Amino acid sequence: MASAAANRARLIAASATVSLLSTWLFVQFSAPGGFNTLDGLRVALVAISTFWLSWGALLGIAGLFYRPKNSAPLPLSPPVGRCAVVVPIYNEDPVATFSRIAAMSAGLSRLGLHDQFDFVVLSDTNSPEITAEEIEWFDRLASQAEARGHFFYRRRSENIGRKSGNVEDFIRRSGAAYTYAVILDADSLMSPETLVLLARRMDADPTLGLLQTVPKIIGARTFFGRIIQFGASYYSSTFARGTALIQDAQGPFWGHNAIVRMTAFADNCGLPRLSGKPPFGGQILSHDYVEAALLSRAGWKVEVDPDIDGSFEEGPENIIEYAKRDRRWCQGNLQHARLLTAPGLHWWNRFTFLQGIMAYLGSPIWLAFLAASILSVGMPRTSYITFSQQVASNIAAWSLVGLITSLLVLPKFLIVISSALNGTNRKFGGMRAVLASAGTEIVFSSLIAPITLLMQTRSVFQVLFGIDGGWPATSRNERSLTLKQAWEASYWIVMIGAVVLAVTLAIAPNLFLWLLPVIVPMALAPMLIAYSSMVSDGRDGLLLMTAEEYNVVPTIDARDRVRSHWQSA
Amino acid sequence: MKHDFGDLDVKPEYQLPDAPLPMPTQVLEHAHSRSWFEHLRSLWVLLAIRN
Repeated sequence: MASAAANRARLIAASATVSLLSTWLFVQFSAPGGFNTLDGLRVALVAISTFWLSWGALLGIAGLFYRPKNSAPLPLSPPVGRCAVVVPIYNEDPVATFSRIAAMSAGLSRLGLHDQFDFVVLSDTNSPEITAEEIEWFDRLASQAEARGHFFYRRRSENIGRKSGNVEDFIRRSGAAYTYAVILDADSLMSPETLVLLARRMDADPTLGLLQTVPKIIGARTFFGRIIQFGASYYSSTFARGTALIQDAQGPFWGHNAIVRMTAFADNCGLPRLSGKPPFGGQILSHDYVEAALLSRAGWKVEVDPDIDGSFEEGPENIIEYAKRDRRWCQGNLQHARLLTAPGLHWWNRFTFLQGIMAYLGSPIWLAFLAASILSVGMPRTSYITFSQQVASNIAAWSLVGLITSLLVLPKFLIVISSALNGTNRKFGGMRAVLASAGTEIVFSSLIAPITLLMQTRSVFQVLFGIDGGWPATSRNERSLTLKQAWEASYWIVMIGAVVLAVTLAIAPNLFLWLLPVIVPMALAPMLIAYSSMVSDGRDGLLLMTAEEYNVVPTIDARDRVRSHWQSA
Repeated sequence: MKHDFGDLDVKPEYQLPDAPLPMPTQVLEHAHSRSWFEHLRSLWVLLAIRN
């Protein structure tokens, strides 16, 4: 396998080549009519956005060439180092959270390997009612489990530093009692075998500071949730393999479902408050990327292993919840602009920050391109266009559309083909079920793309101008949304769609058909948001079923049994 | 703000082990961090001097 440095160079070069090709096609398309001022801007926007679009697509394609390291599997024996399984919580449902802990703990006891593991619940909950429930259910968890004495619960009265501050507080108080910490989210679940494997991997490599797993999303009940769940289960591991090909020792940390070496983390991941005011100053919000960069800066290896199974999380169940989470991530990623020149960081970590920033700036860039394209039609052109020039221009335009569509669809198509060849599709119900699910996912993703594009653009501007997210309140554990809630969340998208339609018809009617795939979803945004939040159990129709649903996963099964037992008590 | 939970206390056996581990605060900003405006101003001064 080529070195990570070579893979990085190849991927950057390939993305730059696709970007240059796209830009050249765009120039061929625009040039015959003569360039106006806006065309120069459009060329720059095409170059930037197609580079990052290619980057994402090529990462997925590269993942198909990933081969796991040929190391002997580690035996399922007790790890040398003591391990804290850390679960930070903040106003979560205690029954749901603690039933996951009960399942993990029971699994470790079944393997006879609980001695080296403690479960540590770090509560920052600020609701007295939920706190009372937490204490009651924690007592039940700790007293019923076979592994008594391995459960700890710590409550803070102030949510200082949010999740990273919560974990930091634990390390400052009790970090020396443990060699490793598996950091989970409240909705995380790991098989006991995976917990042991992570600790054994850390035992085996004293230079490894952090090992990240690729969690699969489970438990989705709505159509939107199941789309996200299918995408994560079917495609994400291939994209993560692409990341693994280029990570070297500077892999990612996604904040949970990962193990850290306690001393390495403590020595290097005490986060400062950045000078100045939020959104760019103050507390570091997307702390995980920064912690990974700091570990790398100190010479520790940070790795993601896409082939570690048994790591799970839950995902957002509707577009509003997704957008709220995206708003937080947007602010955190844009804040990384402050850290691009931070002293001593590896250049790859700086590039990773840039990727995260562009993941959000990409949306306003596409939108700016769209706006410039409409307005550009209304500007005077200087050159006379011959018939052959018009033909060449049309060929360039359609080639560009084909290239961009390929970037969006080709990685997924290749993953389906590859999964058919290596037998993965059988775990997802066979080729027919996969084709139906993958087709549904692509169609729905395309439909909601203009909606998420506008939501991300709004988030970017809100962050830049320090405005609150402004999403309507949805209650805890609420899945389905009413049309009224969906309208409150998206009426502004409908209005923007109407403006785009009016301006297009007024000054660029020949662009009307080109813009229909953007305008129609905008007009239908409330319906799409409400419809996609309806509970949709795919089990009756094979649609969007994942390998974790077709095949019983003992840890998930154990979690379900504990939860239903507790809820019926 | 601090939250007062009254008598909602945790049993002693669930309390974390007392094993502190220091976590020094890392440096992520240059000592003399300058804003974009300051960089631009420096560039302008440099160009003005050269001309």
